[in-house]
Amino acid sequence: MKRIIILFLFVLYCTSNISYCRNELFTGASCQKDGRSMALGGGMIGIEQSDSSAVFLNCQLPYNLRELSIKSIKLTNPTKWMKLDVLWAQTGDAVFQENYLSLGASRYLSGSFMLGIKAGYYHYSLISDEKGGTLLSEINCSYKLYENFKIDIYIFNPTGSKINKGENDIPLYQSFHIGGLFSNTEKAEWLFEIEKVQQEKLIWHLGFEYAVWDTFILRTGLSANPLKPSWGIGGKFHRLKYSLGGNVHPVLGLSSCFTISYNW
Amino acid sequence: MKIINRIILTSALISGYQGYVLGQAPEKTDSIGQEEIKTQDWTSLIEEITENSENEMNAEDWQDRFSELSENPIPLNTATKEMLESIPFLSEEQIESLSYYLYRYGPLVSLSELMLVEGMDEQTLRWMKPFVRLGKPVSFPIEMPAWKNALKYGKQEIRARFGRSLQKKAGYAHASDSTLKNDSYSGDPFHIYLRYGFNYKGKIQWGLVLEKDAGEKLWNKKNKGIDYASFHFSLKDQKRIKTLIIGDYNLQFGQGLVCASSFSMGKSASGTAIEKIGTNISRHFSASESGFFRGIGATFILKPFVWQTAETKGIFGLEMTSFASIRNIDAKIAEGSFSTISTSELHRTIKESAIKDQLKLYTIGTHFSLKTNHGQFGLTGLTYGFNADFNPEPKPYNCHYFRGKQGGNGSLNYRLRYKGMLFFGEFGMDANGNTAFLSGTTLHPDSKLDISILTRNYTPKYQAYYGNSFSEGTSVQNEYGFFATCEWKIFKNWRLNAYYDLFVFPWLKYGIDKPSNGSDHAIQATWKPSFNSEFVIRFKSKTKDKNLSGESNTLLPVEKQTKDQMRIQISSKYGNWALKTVIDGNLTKTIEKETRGFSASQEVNYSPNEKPFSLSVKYALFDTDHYDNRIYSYEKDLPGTFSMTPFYGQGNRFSLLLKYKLTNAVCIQIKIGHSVYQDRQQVGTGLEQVQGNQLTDIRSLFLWKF
Repeated sequence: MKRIIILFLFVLYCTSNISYCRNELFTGASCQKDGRSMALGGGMIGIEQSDSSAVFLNCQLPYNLRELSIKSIKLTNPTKWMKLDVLWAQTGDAVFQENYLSLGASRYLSGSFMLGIKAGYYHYSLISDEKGGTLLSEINCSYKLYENFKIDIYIFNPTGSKINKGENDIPLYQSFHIGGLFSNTEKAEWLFEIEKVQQEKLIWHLGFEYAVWDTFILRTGLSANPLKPSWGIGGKFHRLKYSLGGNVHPVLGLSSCFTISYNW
Repeated sequence: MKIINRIILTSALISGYQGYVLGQAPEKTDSIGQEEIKTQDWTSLIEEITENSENEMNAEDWQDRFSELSENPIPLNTATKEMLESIPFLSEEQIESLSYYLYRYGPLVSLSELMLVEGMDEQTLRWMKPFVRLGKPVSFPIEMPAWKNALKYGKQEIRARFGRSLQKKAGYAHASDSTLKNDSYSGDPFHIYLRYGFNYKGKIQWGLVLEKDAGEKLWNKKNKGIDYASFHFSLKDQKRIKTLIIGDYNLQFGQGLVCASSFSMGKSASGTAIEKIGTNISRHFSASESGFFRGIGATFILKPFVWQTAETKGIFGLEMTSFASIRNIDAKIAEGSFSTISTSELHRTIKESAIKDQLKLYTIGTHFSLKTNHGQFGLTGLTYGFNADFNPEPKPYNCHYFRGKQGGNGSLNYRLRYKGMLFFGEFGMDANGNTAFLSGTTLHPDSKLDISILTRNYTPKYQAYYGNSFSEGTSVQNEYGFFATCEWKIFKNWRLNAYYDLFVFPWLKYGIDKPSNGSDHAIQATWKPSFNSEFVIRFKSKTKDKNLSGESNTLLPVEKQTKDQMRIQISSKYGNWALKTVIDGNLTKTIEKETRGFSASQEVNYSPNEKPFSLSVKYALFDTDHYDNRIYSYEKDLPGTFSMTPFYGQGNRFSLLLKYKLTNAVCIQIKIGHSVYQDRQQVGTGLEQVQGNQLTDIRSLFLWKF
């Protein structure tokens, strides 16, 4: 059954020229869906943030298919003026390969307002020697409305970049996310997010995180459309952090994601 | 008591609650920098009004009005009631409370003190900020300016605006084809606007507006010069002459059953001020080519009634406004009659130019206003005539429309106060004896609760060419309705607004082939976690009848259409930065189908202090199934222009507004808007059509104040 789905997705990819993996590759504010994000229902606000220098290793397994796995590495480094990050994400197999490299800069313009901009390059290649690529941009901003209430905005591909192929340009999707993160106690966080992908149905995400101990966190979430329950755990050992998350698609089954990071 | 109040106020200021700090509005208002800062404060107000009216012309009137108010802020300590009434969003209750406060405690020492006035809320104060100043107490009657001084110290302003679309529209492409020349634009694609104004403290004003729309010819046989020109000369407070305007002007009497060419708040989920209040006669100083009067108009004080202080207050006051106007209007006259009046204001093609100014409209009228301590009464009469017969093609829905050459209206309006309640209304009658009636009440049962109720009864046969009052439809005709609105300040930082409107159209309307009814309601919650941040969530729902599609020469079956709308708006200011996020969604339901619309936008504004520039960037993504799901989105624009872009289809829009102050007197602004559509390869229709899925417009403004 899974093989049929892969074949279907591949045929869909070849006919529409829009890769399933391409969309997944770009998901989230950091162009990667980490374990925390997936556990909180796939919201981009759930993505691991770090105010210190850190390196993140991430692996997503959509529907637990190794052929669709997305691997990424991200390096963040706060400087005096801004926080910089570099990301490289890769997916594909022998038939097709996709790569995304981005460089981001964000800065707190005041105590509670952060603005970030990213520029990236996406590249794909097929076994048939067809290949292409384009420059992309991302914008995100975050502002604290209240002490315990933060709003995040994320816009992917605001300039409407597309892969130039003469008369058959391949459009890349554009999306707008808005989410709120609310902490009613020191131990609990609630997340709600709306995601709109151009020409797609509206998607919402709901997540809840509870810190059982300082070193161990439980998470659960829900997202639609389609309706997908999710769960996960997170923890830390000194400077090492880990998170594991998973969700269930009503037809395609289980997806999982694992992230490990080291801070210094 | 005042000392205690001021101690409270000082404590509030010391505690860092900047919400109370409205700041000392400057006496001088000629600085461009100050104007820019102020402009940002009232744009949200216009956005709210425009979104409800969905009428860009109305928005331009608002813009012009607020722009004028911000340039001539009202001195609160010396303001008359009429002056305060010219701030449209101030309710009668708030005006009364303010006047009582001034009477009880004396002149304000700081604008921050307004927070102590009963009935004033943070939102009203924020909106008021650009339009008021403290002002020094003066003796009555107001001193008349000497002409020499007026000319010497008057402020002058020149605005020049240029703009064009970067893509070539079909109307210009046709121009090179001789077979299509009659169906093409005769002019260039530039929009040109020039405005000169002189203002001496609002007492002596004159101005000139010249405008050419894109596609209009600058000079040809028909146009000896620019396409549209408007001039006015205005004089105020000259002995018995309260206002005298020669040239172009606007009028508003009572609640607008007979005449109102200016603005109104209409339905709004942001306040309960539903009454039309304001000046009788005001100058027309915009590029709007319709809805104004041209000629002479004046308000005379027959018996003075000075409201401000007890010493000078009379028992009653009587004023008379008389006016006469002759205007040329666009209409196609054939065999001494015409069927429609063109309101497009465009003269780009031979066909459009051929009907320009073909029709003459003569209007004369008088309005008497009687003021007493407890109320105000008005009597209005006007008559108008065309130089040809108005004879629209007979259809079932338009059988009660005005026909013929001459018409007229008369009305009686009132405003009465009784134990904290305000009653207002107007009874109007046309030349054929058909009637219209509007009455409203404003209640203030508690300091946290405001309620307004309005009923209207406009008979199907009532005709008022200049009528513009509270209504669901576009004209003051064929409508009965009940409207109620309330504002409840639930907690310190929470405010709840709601309105409900029930309306009935007893006769057919355009697009509705049977007597119909509908309802419109909205509820809005506003949370202000801090002075710099605001979170608004709003639900609106409107149900109306509309024709099912079919043959247009028969009466069509009618179906109900419901449009549910939701908006989340988050805005925040941090130092030099201001952010605004707006999410809109709607669902339109008919028997046949359900369609949806969605739009999300993010705006970032950067206005650094002590720097000569400011920047505003906005990105919007939209995805709507149908034109009925279109979403209006406000976009910051050049002064005097107003962008309420309707989003429909699928795509995104990016806009940039850059302001640069060259000197204290000179400012340059540039606006760029770029739309990309995903669902089409041609944008626009007819002669405005552009090949490709992108549309870019660029505009610039040069502003010089001296």
